[in-house]
Amino acid sequence: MILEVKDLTVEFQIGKNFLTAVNNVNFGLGQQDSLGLVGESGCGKSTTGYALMNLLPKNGRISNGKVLINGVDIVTASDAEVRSIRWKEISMIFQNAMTALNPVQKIGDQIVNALLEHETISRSEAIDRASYFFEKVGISSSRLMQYPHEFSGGMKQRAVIALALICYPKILIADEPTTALDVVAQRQVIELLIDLQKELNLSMILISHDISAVAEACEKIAVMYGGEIMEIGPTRDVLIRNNHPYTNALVGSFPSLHKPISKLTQIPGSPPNLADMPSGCSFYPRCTYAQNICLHEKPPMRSVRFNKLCKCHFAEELDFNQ
Amino acid sequence: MRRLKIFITNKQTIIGLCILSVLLVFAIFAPVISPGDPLFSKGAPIQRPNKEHIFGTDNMGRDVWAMIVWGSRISMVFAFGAAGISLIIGVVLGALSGYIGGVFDDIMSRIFEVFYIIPRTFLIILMVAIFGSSVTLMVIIVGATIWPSNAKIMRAQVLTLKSRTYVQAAEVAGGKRLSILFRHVVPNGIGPVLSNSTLQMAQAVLTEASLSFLGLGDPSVASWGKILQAGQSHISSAPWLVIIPGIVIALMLLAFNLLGTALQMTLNIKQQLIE
Amino acid sequence: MDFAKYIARRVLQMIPVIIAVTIFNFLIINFAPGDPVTVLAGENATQEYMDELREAYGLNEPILVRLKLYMQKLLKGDLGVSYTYRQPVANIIKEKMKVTLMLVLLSEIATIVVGTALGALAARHEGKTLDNIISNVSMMLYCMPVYWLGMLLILFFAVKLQWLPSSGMYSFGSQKYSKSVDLIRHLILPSLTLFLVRLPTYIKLTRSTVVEVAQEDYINSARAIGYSEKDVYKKHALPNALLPTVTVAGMSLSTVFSGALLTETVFSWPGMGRMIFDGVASRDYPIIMGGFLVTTILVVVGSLITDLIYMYLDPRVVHS
Repeated sequence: MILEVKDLTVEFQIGKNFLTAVNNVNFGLGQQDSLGLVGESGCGKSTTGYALMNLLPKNGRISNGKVLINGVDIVTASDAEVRSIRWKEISMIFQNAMTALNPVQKIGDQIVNALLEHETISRSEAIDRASYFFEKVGISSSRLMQYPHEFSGGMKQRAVIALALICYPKILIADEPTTALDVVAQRQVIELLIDLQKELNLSMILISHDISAVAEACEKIAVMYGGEIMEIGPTRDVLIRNNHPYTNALVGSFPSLHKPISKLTQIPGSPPNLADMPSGCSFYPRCTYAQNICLHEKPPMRSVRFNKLCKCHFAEELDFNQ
Repeated sequence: MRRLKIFITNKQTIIGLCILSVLLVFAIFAPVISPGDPLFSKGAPIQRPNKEHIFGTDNMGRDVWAMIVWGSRISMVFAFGAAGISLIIGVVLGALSGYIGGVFDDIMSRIFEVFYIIPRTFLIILMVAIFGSSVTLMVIIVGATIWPSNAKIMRAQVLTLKSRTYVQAAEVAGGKRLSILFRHVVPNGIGPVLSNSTLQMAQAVLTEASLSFLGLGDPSVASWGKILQAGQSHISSAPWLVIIPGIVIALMLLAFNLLGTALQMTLNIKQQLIE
Repeated sequence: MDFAKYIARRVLQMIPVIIAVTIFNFLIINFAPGDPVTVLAGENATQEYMDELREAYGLNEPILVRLKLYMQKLLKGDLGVSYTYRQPVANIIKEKMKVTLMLVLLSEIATIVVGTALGALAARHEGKTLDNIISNVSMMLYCMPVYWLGMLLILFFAVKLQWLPSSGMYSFGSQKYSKSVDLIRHLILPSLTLFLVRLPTYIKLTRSTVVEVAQEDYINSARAIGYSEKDVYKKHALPNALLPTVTVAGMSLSTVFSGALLTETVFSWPGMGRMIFDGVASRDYPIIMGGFLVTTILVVVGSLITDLIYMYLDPRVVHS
């Protein structure tokens, strides 16, 4: 296991209260594994991504759990250790490529400086590597010395990918890498990521609300709701033969991947308010299969068919088939 | 209401208001607190602070305490007079410029810019030197030179507000454009202008003190800057002539600056609440 | 190409300012209370000199002819003759300007560097003790009139400790120090005054922009890349936060000169400010008007230079 996440819990301080944004999340990632994190906005998938790099906003903290990267716990590591792990072991493609780059620095300089921060090589070697990765993501290396505002949206996204890969990281987190792009560019970026993952032996975590993108790029998938993982397992088995009512509802609200576009169903109700979470199962208020027990008792994570884990009192009974 | 509460309970607001109320009491009740003409000699010159003259006397035997008390009057007149003139000119020109737009706006913007960049203190000194230094005239001169920042802010506010639904609704309903502008648009956008006005009050007080310090003040009234002017030439023999009026000026500037900053913060909170 | 066009546009924008000031000066000569000739020549001028001026400025001609004559004189660099110095104003200003720039440039550069650094430091420790100390001291300085601050420094360093001279540019008769050391000793207090008085402007500005910039996505990117917190601020937040500082530095040149006027008055520093002050005291209008015009031109040119610096620092300007 190159990455092990154990009981990860993240809290945010809002006023005097602490809200739990990520609750007891567990998963692991082997070399060249790819895992997709999906869910509605506010479900904690991006926060999980940032927690993996120990990079939370000022009012956030990891209140419990471990994030082992190659055996080193980034939660308890010293500042210097954390800094040396970032980008070298685990790097990230940021959600908003439009604003993720420093507007007053040439893109090439930003990439080269990031590399020099982690490796003791000459500047010209660093420039060579930056050129190599620019060509790899499909940008002419002659554009290295341009500023972000001279790039189109799709090119900025590619530049951000080149920046993320420059130190040959072992783990890559891609946080909504396609949201700001048009449909054509979205496909290209996802395909680029799939190619790069294979070529560079990357372990990848793809965070997205776009289930079809995740289905295409990832072998495993984790469905998050209210800060918890509700169902996790092989992509196909989670998406098509799901066991959790939420997964079922979420997949049902998306255009189908394999069948012609049929009726889409909306999930009733709205995403949970972190400040006011239900006492039992967090999905209970919106669940069509809810029973009395769901109101009072939090369902434990249990193993179900196809090597999946599922957090529902009735996981074994609810064998959905899309 | 919530905004008002945030503003009132702010520590900066409280300190600012306390200082201002003391100075306002001085200004209003000066004849009671310190009877007689403050510019009239009341004893031997250059007396250290003592029982009879708690702040000492200046080089002409005038009581510094009396001049401080009476000086608050002229400072208040400048604060409210000059900032008030600047507020009126700035709001009217800025609002019209933003609302009418087109060539008028272009010309007005150029004028704001010219005023903005001209060395203001020099301009004021030049005008006071030529046209004389009666209080009324100086208040008008200062007010008429510091308004462009108000106009700039008002213009920007009107530009963002005029596309709002309620303004357009009023226009569709057939309201007169001018009355829509000054009834609906200006009152909703005036917040930042008022906070700037508070800062301009400090600026006006400072300008008056500087003019008096340079010997350009109205010769017939007591002013804090005038004590400092006397203090400058007696700095080694009468340091109290420098220290005391300086502290009073600084306190008044502090009060207006604190209030202005508090107002700004309150308005930002308002923006956050809307978003 | 874009670059040249941009500069040309900025230069064109500056012209109205200079025209406004010249017309303003012209109006003062012509509409100030009393005979225009006394404005130009002073109360005690001889009849011949007054006649000469009347001729030169065309004071008997219609107003537009007068304006033309006045403009022609200005374009030739003729700012009139001071009747207290009995010299052409242009020559006096040339001398005084050097003396003022010596004082202003030194202290302003120092205040920009130190103020920016302190502001960034306060922003990095936002809401903590260090931030509170810096912000409160800055507020206190902000409320002190420049001449009062100058007098306090005189009181402490010159009167009480007797370390430094309180006024002038050189000491008379004393051979204790070499000429340049003597000059530096005289420069310290007035420079320190201007430095302290301008400090809060840059502290406040830098603090608020750095706090704002620190919330940008690319700052978080820099953290993710593994830069130390110090580098995140120094290499990423500060360069972006500096942009408004540059603008303010340019826009506030006129404030700097006003500060210089008062400081020079307090310290009897024989520069432009002191010259204008003396001009006001003796009602030497050619001096005041010349000083006003030249200062305005300096401010305008200064803000143009600032624009160029801004363009160098922010690659986005020319494009937008």
